[in-house]
Amino acid sequence: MALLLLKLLGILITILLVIICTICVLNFQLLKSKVPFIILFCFIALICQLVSTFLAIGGINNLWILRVYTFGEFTLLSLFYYHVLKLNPTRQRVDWALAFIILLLALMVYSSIYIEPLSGYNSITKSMECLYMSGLSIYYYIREIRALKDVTKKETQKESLLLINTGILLLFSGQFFIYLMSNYMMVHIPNVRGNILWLFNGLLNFLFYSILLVGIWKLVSPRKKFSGSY
Amino acid sequence: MEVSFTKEEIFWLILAGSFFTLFMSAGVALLYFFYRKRLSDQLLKTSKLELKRKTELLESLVRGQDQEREKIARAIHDELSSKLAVLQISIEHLKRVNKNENQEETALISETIEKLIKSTENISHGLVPPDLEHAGLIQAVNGIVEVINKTDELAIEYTWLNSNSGPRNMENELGVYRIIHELIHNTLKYAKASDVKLHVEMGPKSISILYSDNGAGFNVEHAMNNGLGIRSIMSRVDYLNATYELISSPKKGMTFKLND
Repeated sequence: MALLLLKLLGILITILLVIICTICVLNFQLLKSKVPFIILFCFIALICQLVSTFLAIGGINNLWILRVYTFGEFTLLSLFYYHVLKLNPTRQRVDWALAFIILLLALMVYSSIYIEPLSGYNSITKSMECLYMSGLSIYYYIREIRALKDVTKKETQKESLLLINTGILLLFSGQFFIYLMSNYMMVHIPNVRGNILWLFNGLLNFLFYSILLVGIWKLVSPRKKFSGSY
Repeated sequence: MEVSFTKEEIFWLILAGSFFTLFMSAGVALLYFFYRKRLSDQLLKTSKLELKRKTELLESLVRGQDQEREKIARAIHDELSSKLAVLQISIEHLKRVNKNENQEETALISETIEKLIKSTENISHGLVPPDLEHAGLIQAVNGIVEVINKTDELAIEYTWLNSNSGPRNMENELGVYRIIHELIHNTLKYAKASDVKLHVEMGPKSISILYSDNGAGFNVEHAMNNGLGIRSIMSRVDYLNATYELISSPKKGMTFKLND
């Protein structure tokens, strides 16, 4: 049952990604100036989803795809936050925020090559990514809540960014435990029990892409115009 | 170092993991709703402040406009009208003195001055209705209704009830008079109506009006935000500390009720 639901979620996630990518293509000019890294992330996610599905159908181990996906996901979402949070506003000579992202990326590559074998999950890398992304999204929330006292009108772009941020926080805070235990679960936990946690993971991914779709849709949908006559 | 768990420990581990995931998700949802609540509270606060500022601005504008009208009307009456009257008397005197000379010219001048006096009177009455001061709101409104009914543009059915025998509140009467004036003006200008029903009731401490037309109607929300006439009416209603009800929708006419 859990396996069936997981497959269903996989199909739904693929459909969501196809819709998001279509919207991105159709509104590329508008979106590339607002959320360029999110567009790229969606395309990478769709490609990885399709490749991993085909590999799974062919009975080939597709866990290495997760490394590629994590690398792309971490890079693009970090750059998304770097962009929206303006992490280097004064344009210092040494961009510490960017340097930190590069350092984490280097650690990810190192871990993937030397610590965790390609046939298993990248548990350490994923957990580290979950912590980092959760931290950034919570920071974004704190900043937005603090800025509330100066808000005078509804801004569609801010609303969309907040939705995307909420999706990211939901995904990574929920995934932390799952990926922390992923390698252990793969070896020691019988399939059915393990699938319950993977089902949560699928559900979180589904929610994340649904929220992402709403966020992007809000960015591209035309504003309502008032009309009336005396 | 290999870590191993018993079956029971594995069960609890999965249970804890599930709870952790659910807990984190619920936390995020709560955070989002908390933010949305704060945002809507802040927007409501801002819009209330903005509305208050706009209302105060309009109120002071309306008050200033009334004062200015009164000042101009008084100046026209005291300065221009009286001097024109003196001029008229002088011309009449001139006509009597120079019996046969320039009769045509003096007659023309006299006629022009008479027209000028009439015009200044009209302007002065338009600024501050004299009927309102002397005969009261009911009669002043009747004056407008009579003028409008003489034209073919609009038929106003005007009814009233006056149960006020005590002292009058001129400021309130002027406010209500201006509201009725604005309503009729809007009906004539935008509504393309054929009939208007107007009922005015004056009590010892209150004035109420019921105004309805069979015109084009309008989107009330849009008019409240964008229509200068409606906003001017609202600011007068606020200034009178009265309550109102405005019902209208496109093609269905409009009804306006005011209770002071």
